[in-house]
Amino acid sequence: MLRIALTRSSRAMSVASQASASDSETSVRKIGKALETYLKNSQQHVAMMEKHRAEFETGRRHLAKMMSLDIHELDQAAIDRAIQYLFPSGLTDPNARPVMRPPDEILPKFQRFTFDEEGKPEGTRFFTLNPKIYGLLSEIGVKTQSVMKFYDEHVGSRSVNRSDLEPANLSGSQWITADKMKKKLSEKFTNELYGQVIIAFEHLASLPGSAIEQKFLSEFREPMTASTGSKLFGPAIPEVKVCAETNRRYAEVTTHCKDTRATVKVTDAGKGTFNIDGLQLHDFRHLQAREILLAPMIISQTLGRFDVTATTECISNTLPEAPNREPFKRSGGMSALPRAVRHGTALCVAALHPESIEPLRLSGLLTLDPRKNERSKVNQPGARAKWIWKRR
Amino acid sequence: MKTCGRVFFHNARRLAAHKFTFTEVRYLSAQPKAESNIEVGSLSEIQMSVAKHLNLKTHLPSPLSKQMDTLGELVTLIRDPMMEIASCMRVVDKTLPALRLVLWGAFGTGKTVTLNQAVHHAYTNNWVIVHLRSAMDLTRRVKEIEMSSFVPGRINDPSNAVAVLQNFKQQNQHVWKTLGELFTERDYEWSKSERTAQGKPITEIIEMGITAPFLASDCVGALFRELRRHAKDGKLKALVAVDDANSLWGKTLVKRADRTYAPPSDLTLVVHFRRLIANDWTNGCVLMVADKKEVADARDELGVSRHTPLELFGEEGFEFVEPFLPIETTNYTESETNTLYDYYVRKNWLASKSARTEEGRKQLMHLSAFNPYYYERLCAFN
Amino acid sequence: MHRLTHVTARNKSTLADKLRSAVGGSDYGKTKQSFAGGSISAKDEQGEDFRELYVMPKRKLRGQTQLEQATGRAEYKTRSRFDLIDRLSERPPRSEEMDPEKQKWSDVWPAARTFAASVVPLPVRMGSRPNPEKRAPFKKEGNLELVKIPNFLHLTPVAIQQHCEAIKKFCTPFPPELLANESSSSSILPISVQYSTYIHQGTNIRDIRSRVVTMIVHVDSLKLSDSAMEKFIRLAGNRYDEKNRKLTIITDRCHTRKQNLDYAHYLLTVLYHEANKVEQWAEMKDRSDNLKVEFEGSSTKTKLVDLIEKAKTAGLESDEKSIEKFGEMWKTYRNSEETVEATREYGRQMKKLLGIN
Repeated sequence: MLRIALTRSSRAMSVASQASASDSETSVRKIGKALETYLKNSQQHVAMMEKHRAEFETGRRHLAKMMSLDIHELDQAAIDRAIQYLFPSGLTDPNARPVMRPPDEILPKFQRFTFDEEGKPEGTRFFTLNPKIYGLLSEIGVKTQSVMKFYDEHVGSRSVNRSDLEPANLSGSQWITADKMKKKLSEKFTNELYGQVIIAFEHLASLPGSAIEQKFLSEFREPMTASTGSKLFGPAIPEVKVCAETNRRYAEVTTHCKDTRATVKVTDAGKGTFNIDGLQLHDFRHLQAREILLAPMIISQTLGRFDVTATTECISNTLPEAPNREPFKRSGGMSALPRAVRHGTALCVAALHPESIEPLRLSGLLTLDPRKNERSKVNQPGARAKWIWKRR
Repeated sequence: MKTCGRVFFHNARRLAAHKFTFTEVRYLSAQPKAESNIEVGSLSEIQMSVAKHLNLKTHLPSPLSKQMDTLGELVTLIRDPMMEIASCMRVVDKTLPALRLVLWGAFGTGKTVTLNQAVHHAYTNNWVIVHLRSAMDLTRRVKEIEMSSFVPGRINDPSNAVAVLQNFKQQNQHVWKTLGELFTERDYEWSKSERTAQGKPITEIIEMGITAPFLASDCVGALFRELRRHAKDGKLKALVAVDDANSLWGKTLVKRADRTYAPPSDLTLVVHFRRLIANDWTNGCVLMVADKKEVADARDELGVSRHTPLELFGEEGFEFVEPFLPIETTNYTESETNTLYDYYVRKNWLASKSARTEEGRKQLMHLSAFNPYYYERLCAFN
Repeated sequence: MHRLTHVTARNKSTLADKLRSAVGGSDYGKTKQSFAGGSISAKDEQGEDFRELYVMPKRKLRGQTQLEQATGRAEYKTRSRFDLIDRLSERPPRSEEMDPEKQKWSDVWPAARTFAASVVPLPVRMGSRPNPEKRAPFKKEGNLELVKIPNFLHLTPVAIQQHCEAIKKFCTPFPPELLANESSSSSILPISVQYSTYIHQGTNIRDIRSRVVTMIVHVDSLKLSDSAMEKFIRLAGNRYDEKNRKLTIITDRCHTRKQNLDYAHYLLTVLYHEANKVEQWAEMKDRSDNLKVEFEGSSTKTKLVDLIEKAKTAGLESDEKSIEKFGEMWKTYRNSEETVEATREYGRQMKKLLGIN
């Protein structure tokens, strides 16, 4: 809308129009309605942000005084802690909890355009509809040219470092995803364009001498491990610790499946023993249960290497009950308990044996199973079941 | 489960046959009284003729007896408890009261198999064998009952009594001649018409019981009495092997006239076996198995009950059985599973390709949790 | 806000003239007269008043005034809003007037209170939204979510410190002797009483759980004889913990805490005296009635002694002396929960006793 209006009336626009809108009464000139709206919104936004920033700063000083902290000590982490203390909220959705953050961080961004003196949009790429991404493409092109030229000039000479004449070192990282690139450039573009950019990047990175553009390239790279961690649903892969007494590596994690919560500790350099609430593996009568428990080791091919110690409890047993009511005594079932332990074991094995992260993830063992028993409904015998209907 | 290509099967057979010449299988029965030759952790074969003679097909756990049928041989692993039993049996003496051993261990760790090995060991040493398949048969599998005419209030169990006598007769053919030369101590008046006079061979009691089932329960008592007496005199050595012995102090499914369940002490056969277990006689060995099946609920799939002797025998039974020597059966060690794995591969019992790989070997080992029963079950389907 | 003023039309209306004349007095009649003296007679033949034809109102239309204003022909006169006084009387949010340096927050928010957006000077926001990128959480004004959740604005560190300072004069220091020696507390103070008091945010000061009283007694301090102790254990049932030798009485059957505490004391007294009583039938106590299974005099011991003697004659190297050790092991084995390890220990000792292997 704005773009169409701008292209139509770009000739008619004047310098004064964007300078100020308040003295528009002095000159009754033709300004595109869209541009006028944009300018108004822009100014309103600036004013609003000013107001919010001032408000936040005052609030911060108030909070520092309330929590008897020095204003310099009160960084964002301290603010979060203070808000969590002052407004304890049991809401499970982190987005729904009370927050106090700088307005620049939480308020939606306002997209600005740049204009030249005549009021025309700056840069000819404006009319490609994707100025940023095409700008990036041409930048890559320019850099590709310069890299080739640099290589040709210095290939035989000793004036430059040998390492500069090699391809850029991109190991352990990958190109940022389309979503991240969109956010980085603050522009929307199609997947085809993203593909073209990646092809151009690959070409540039493959050139000998692209090491001189290492900094530029690494701007659009992200570490490989972070991507795996972010993809996991449920608890993350725990950290590896070392037992002070036995000097053995171990990892510990808490997870759940259905109503069973399991705290699993996997120790490296063991004999493949299990201790689940004092039960050993052979106490699990069904092959299904033993298969479930051993699945992470079978997939990572580390049978007989890790010792698993787990304690389980029933989540609904731990919930507060009404006074004078006997608490429920339940325990995990034939497959739910082993599955809870399996998820914990898989996470710990992934921590202790990083080569098996990818196979474990692909077999779905690192993903939490969030399914729960559906609650039974009032006036019904179960969650879905209905009483038998009978004609009187 | 055993469907593999014809060619493959043929080759494997040949390979197995070839390997078998170098096998470490020892023939226990071929070397009587040579238990020092048996090594712990080695495979030993019980010859099929002996197995048939000892009626092992009914006494062994069903998967193993089926495997015996399929493979055409009975090869078992010699493990620690067996060695312990053998060393205890060596001690047995005319002056020493009957040594009582209780085999205990978790499910599937080989209590019954060890018991059968011990029976075979007694056979090779020419002992008299009293072998009960399961004491639970006497208390829970009672088909017909009769009130005893000998002791009022006792309940006779003709079918089980005949089975006990028949089994005794079959298992003791190797010493039948010796038994025929042992004579009864006193007159036995079974009924108005039937009686066994003093000085008759004790095999006659057995024949009497087998031919007249209504007398069989009393014949069992008389036989055990005579056996104890002759053992005391040093004329024979006896091994009493009772599987699920704790059921002798367990529940029964026998109903009395007033429709209440009879306690096990009212069953004639149970009383006779209890007397045999009591160590008021010498020159014998009593081998009992404490098994969970008496107390555990088979439908409870999650509960893990205890398998220790006091828990299973109960206070009464425990005090009766004491003093005894508990012998624990445990899960396999890794080397034991490897021995069996090699055997199964050799016999082509492990047929699938993946089971024959190194990874397959490890998986079988760990998925069975080193439990002998689970290991056998897994190997039967791979 | 600019408002169009200078309503000239109203001044020129006939009604205004009439009003003005009414205020002025004589003026009104004069105009009427002049009117009468004009071409149009004020009254017709029948003597009725002249009725003017209504074509349009005798004031300027809005369009006319606007046109005049736009072309600059008419004057502007700004007027204040009609509800200006009302607006001025309404106070701005209190939080805007607060100075963080000068005020004390505990004075502003002295006690527990529901969240009030105008009082809390923090720019707190709350609320879930489908796309956090596109929209911020709702601001505090009129935000019911913030009202719903509890707040600890009255429990800031400063406020807590003030409270502590205030109630300090009512407190006495904990006896240092008890602090120093944990074990002596059981002999000096053998009875401890526990109860809980509950506070609600609402107006209710009662809670049904506050009546429950738990009394813990160190039984050693009762100095019971062996027989009395056994009776005491039987009477107490599962209230007696054998491991730490403590009796725990929980009373909740009366309505008030005091009654329950009295009842607990009563129970303890009754227990003590009942335990010390010796009834006639107590003499008939049998070996099998003992709380614990004893090795001395048990059938196991007689059988074992007999067996060892026979084993000796048979030539086994049985160890007679270890029978006491076996007895100890046997006692713990029979009287505690059976474990696999305990059974193994039983086997080891038995082997040693019989001299096998």
